[in-house]
Amino acid sequence: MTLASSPAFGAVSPMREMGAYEWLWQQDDGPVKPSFKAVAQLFRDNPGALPSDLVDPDDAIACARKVLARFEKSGVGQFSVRMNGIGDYQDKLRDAENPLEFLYYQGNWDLAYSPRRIAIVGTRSPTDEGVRRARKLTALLVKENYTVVSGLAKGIDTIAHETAIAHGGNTIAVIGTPLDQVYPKENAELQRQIARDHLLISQVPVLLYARRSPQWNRLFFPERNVTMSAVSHATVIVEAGDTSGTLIQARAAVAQKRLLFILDSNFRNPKLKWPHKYEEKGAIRVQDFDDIKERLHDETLSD
Amino acid sequence: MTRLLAIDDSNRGDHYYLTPDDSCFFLHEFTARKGYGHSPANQFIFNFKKSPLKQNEGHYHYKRQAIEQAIRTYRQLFDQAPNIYREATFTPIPSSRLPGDPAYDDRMWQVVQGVCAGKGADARELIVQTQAYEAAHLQGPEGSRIKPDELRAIYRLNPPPPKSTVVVFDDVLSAGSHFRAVKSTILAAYPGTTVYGMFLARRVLPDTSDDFDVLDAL
Repeated sequence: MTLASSPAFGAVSPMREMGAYEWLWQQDDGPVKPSFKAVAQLFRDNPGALPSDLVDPDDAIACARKVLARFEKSGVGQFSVRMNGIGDYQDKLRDAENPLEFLYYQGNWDLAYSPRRIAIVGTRSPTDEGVRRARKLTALLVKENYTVVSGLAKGIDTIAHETAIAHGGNTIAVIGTPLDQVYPKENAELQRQIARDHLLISQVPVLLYARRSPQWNRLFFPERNVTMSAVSHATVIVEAGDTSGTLIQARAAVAQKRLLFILDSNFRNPKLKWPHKYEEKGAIRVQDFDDIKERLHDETLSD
Repeated sequence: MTRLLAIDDSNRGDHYYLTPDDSCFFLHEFTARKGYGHSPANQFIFNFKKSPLKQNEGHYHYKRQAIEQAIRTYRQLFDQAPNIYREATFTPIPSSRLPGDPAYDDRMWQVVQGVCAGKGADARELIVQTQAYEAAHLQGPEGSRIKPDELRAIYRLNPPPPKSTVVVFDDVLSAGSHFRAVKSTILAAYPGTTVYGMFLARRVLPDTSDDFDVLDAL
C-alpha cells in the first residue's frame, strides 16, 4: 500500500487530512488568498467535505510529510488533530464566525469538554494591579474547579496559565503559533508543560507559518482569540487598552453568545471607551467574584 | 455519518508495537486522565470498560448501552461495504482474564456477535488465551506492560481456518501488543491472511502503566 492510497473501510487518514489542510493554506498565489475566512467559506461551499476531498492525495501526503519532519526536528512529540464532523470534534467550535475545519492539539482533549471553561485574557503589558487581579481571579476560579483557558501570550495570559497550574487546576492554551513554535520564547517551558499535562490547541498552519515573515504571522494571534472564546463558556477581560487584541475576543464572545465579563477597574479608567461599548452589547461588569460565579452557574451545566 | 479513522504515519508512534504494515482503525481518541471523562468519547470508553465486578451497581446499565452503541456504529460502517461480512472472519481479541474469573469480561465478543448478527458472517472467538497473565505482568519489572511475544506464547487458534481476511476487534489501542500478538499468531498458521485491527478508541496520552489495566479496574 502506498501512503497516498485510500485506507480500507473508507477510513479517514488523519495524516492525509493534515496534509490537505496544510496544502490549502499553501495556495497563496491563487485567486483567493488563504485565510480562516476563505477556508471556512470553502467548506461552506462543499458541505460535508473533508480537506482530503478537495486536495490531490499526493500533494496532501507531501505536505503532511513536511509537517511531520518539522515536528520531529523541533521535538514536538506526541500530537493529534481534530476535524469537523469526525470523531471527537468539540461542536462548540462551530459557534465561531469562521469555524475551524481542522486543528492540532497536544495533551488532554478531555479538557475541551470540562464542565466550567473560562477564558482569562488581557493585555501583554499589565499594570501591577492587573497582575494582582489576574492572579486572584484565576486562583478563585481554580478553587471552584473551573478550567482556565488563555492564549499563552505575555502578560495576563501567562499569569492565568501559571496561576492555574500553581493551584493544581486545569488549563487550556490556544496558541497563535504552530505546535513547533513558541511565542514568546520565554514561555517555551510553559507551553511544553501545558502540552504534556493540560491541553494545547493550535489552528495555525505549520508550513505557511514557516515560510512567512513574523509580520504576516502576527495575524494568526487575533484569530486564535476567536477560537479561545468558542471553546470557552465565558471570557473574562482583566485589563486591556482600547486598541488591544484582547478586544477581538470581546467581539467574538458577543458574536458567539458567550458570557463576557469585564473587570470593574476597566470601567473606572476614564481613558477607556471599550468597556462601556461592550457593556451596551451585554457584557457583565464584575465588581466581585460572585458576579462571575452566579452568572456562570447555569451556563456551564450544559455542553 | 460516523467514519473510521486510520492509524498512519502521523499517529503510529503513539502505539509502540505497531509497524507500517499494520492496518488498524479506530473511532475515537481516548484522552482521559485521572478518571476524568468529560468528553463523549471518554465517557463511552469508561462505560464500555466498566468491570463485571460492578454489575450490581446502578451505573452498570451504561455498559450495556455502550456495547449497543459500538454494535450500531460498526454495523452502520460495514453496511457501506457489506462484502466484508462474506469475505472476513470476525473475532474479538481475548479478554485478559479467563472464563470463570469473576472479572472475566466478554464485552468484545458481545460486540462481534452483535455486529455480525443476521449477516451470515464467520464470527467467532478465533483466538483463545490458554492462561491468564494478569498476576504475572502486574509484577513485571517494566510495570504492567506485556510484550507481544509473551502474549503470543499463550495464544492458540481455534479451528476451522479463518477466511482470507480477519477483522480483529478490541476496545482501546494502547501499545498495540495484543493486536501484534494476534496478528502474528494468525500469520504464523495462515500466511497471506489480511488482518485488520478495529478499535473503539486509540489511547493518545502517554502513560507509564499500560492503560487497559487502569481502565479495567474502573
